[in-house]
Amino acid sequence: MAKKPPDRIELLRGTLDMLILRTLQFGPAHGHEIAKHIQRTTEDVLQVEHGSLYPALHRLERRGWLASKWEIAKDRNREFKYYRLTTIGRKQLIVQESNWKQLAGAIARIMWPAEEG
Amino acid sequence: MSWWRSLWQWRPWSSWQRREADFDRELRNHLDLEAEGQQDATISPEEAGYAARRAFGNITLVKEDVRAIWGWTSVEGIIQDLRYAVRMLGKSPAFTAVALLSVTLGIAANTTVFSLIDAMWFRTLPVRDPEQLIRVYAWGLPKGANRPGVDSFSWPLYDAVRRRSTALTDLVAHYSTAPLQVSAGGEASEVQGAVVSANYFAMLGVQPALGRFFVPEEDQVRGRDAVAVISMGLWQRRFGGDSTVLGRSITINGVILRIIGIAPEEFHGIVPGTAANDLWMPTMMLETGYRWCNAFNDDDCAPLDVIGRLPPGRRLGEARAELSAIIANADTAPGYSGPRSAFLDRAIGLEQYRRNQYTNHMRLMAAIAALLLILACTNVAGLLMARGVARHRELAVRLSIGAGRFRLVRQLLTESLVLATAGSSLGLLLTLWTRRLLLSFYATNSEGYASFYDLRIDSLTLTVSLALAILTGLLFGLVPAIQVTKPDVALALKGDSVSRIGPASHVRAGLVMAQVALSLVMIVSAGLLARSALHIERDATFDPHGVALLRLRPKLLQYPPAHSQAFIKDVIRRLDALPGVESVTFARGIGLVWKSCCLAYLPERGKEAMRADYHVAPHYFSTLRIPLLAGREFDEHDRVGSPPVAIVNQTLARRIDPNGSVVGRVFVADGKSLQVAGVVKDSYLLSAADTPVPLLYTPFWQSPDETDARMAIRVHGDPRAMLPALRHAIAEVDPQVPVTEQMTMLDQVRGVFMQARLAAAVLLSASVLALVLSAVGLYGVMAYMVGRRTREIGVRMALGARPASVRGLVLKQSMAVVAPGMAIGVIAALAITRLLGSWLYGVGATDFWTFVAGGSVLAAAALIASWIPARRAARVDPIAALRCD
Repeated sequence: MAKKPPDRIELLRGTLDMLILRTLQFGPAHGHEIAKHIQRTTEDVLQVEHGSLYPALHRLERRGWLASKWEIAKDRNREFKYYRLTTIGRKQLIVQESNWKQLAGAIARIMWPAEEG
Repeated sequence: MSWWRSLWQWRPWSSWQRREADFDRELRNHLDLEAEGQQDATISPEEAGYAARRAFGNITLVKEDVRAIWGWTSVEGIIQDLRYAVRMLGKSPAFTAVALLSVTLGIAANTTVFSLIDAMWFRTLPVRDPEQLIRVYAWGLPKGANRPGVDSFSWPLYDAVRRRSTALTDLVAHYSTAPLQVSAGGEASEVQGAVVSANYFAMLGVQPALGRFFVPEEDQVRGRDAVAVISMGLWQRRFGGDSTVLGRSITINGVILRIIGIAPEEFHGIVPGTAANDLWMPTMMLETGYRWCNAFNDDDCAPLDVIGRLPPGRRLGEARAELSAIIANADTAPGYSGPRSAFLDRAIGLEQYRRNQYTNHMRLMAAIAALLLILACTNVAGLLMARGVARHRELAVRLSIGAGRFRLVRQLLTESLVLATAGSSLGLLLTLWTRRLLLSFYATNSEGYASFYDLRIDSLTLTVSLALAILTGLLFGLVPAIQVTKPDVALALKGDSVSRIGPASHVRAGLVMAQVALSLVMIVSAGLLARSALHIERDATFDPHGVALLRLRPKLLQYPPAHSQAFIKDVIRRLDALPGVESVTFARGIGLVWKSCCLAYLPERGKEAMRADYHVAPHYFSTLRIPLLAGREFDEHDRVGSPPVAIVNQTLARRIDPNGSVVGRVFVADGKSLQVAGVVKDSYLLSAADTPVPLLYTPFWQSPDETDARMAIRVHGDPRAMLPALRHAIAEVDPQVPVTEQMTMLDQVRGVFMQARLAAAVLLSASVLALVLSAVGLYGVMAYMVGRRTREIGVRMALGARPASVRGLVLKQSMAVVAPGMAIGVIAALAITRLLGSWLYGVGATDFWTFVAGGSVLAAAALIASWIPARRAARVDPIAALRCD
């Protein structure tokens, strides 16, 4: 039986989805690469728990935002499951990005009202 | 088995396996990479691995999340249910064995009957595009008939239909039941052959195994092209599979034909339910294969059956209208009164009129099979309920810690479905054997010809048995599952095991009552049919034991009557002289026990019908041991020229004169004056549905046209062992004359009464099964009852009840279920056995003693089934009973 994850993860999940989509905009990548990329670019501020990455990846794949393919990595003789953005995924990224901007802007206006004026 | 493989490769199934493996690999990759990254520091590879796992989090949880995303949990749930079900069934082997046996027998009975129904009603011919094939009949008043019906075609009528029809294509004529006397290599024997139009094989899409089939030129001039195709079987039997057989000659009914081809092994002709064809010749050779009338000149002579194709998109009604018009406008001789329209039928199963004679029979068998399945289901349902009650506490615990009721019902249903599927698989295996058993009744007809049926288990049979399995699983699983998961948790947890006759017990008692009633119906029916079957063989009004039968057919060789009669006289002299032969007689080609023949009238009584035309030879009645009540038998002096005489049976004698002696009286039948020479006992086997038939016998030798004869030879010892000697003696008189239908009279009687005998055999085995099933059911209920009331019984005994009174208590309770069941059974049986009327010989449908005997057998079985729990109850140790729980 599937267990309902706590609310905290629900909130994170939406963000994680966007971060994954954004990461894949640079080109196809496998799970470990995605995790490392998020970690590196945020200078380890965002510690993505690797375990939560995979359900997110599979959920995005199931929705059709991502497509996957097993390919041999360039630097080693081993097959990895590479994810890439689909057309729907690209559109979703734009939607999510603007949602996020609105949200961030709204929160910013509440938190630092003075700066706005 | 390919369906098994395709199940395994079923898409959701295999994609599920693939995804699972994929995800495992993905995870492994991730962990390896992570470990590699960590290893740069000063830690061991092992520690690096642990670190990677720590960084990952809860792997099991992640796996489960991913599975949930792909919706695998429901699949997993089902697998879990299945494994649990198998484990639970394994834990109670006795229950599982009884339940499995019930389902196996129920399904086997149904599949067996269905495979026969399938072969008779639903199977298409094993040829090219069989669904297009249409059987064409002429419709009207066939010659000699008094009611309109289907008829076959004369050659000119077939020719007209073939040339003019546009709605049906590839019209083929065939006479597929030609008795052919085949001589090749100095040995003569009879085979069943077919006379077919040249397009027969091409239209069916059959390819020759060797040589070729007919070309159109070979079917254009009467009697010119004497060519034949033989079956693979005949080729093997008569020519040892010699490939130089092509071009060799073969003598058919005295005519020499040249073999041009060999049909493939699996091809037996296109009329299932009759003898397999061993030889084919073109329609222009019809006079060799058919000797009774001339189908080329005589419009009333219609031996040819017609079959054609309805092209895709054309409608059957259209074709019928067109063919009716063609037949109505066909050129016929003046005075023709035969068929004037067409009747079309898709070529599925046996021919309609052929299978119609089995309709009642198959209904009965299907009803019995269904009843058995219901009995098996009620039994398993009862067992499941008992088990459910035994598991009451387990189920209550599961309910109370939050298992959904639906989940529990699903679990219990899975158990039933596992039982049903396993039982059905076993049942299907058993069918392979029971079908052969059942077929043995149909395999030869009363004339000794072997019939072929296509009895492969096809997808339809498989589908039906699969559907039955699921249906039965739901049927016997659902009610108990709902019943035992009723949430009276508190009660169960309190450990309430005192006598609580809940609704479940009422349902079970009702089930057993129904079983008892059904069993009684079956036992009584079986008893009636068994007595009838015994009567047919033992108490028949003639004695079929120790009699050999042969049929002489000089007509196939076109011997003139005088020649034929001389031949027959010679044969009789020769056979009479043979050691071991007691007496020899014969009758005209009607058969000795044939039920119908011709109708004649007693003019002075108006249009009163009677059966006549039994032309019999001297010693007929003494050979068959039919008692002569008055007068004399025919003798050698009753010949052409002597005064016409007749022998009548009792029923006819009473019609002629209800009071006085009729010997010597002259009466008129069918326009002829006949003097009564003797009166014989009614030798006709009457079923409970028949009325006595007036019969008239006339002397064979007073009919100058008679050529063929069915001989009956009473011998000392086994008649079957005598057959070769008899045949040899006949061959010494004339080796060419076809001798057919060589069998014992007992076999013929069995063939004629096949349906009644089969019904008896089927019902007898079914009722034994029913008896066992209900006894098991009753035992289950009583044993359960005793188990539940152990404490109460202990109290009773502690208070001074004697073991005998405890036994009586249990027996009384069991009779409270059995007695009403039997009462219902008697009422139902009285209504149902009437339907058996036409299969009952020598016993009435409501025969008192059969009912009494059936009831006694059932009561005895019920007593035994409840005696064991009663004894156990009487042995309850009061102290132990009170101390437990």
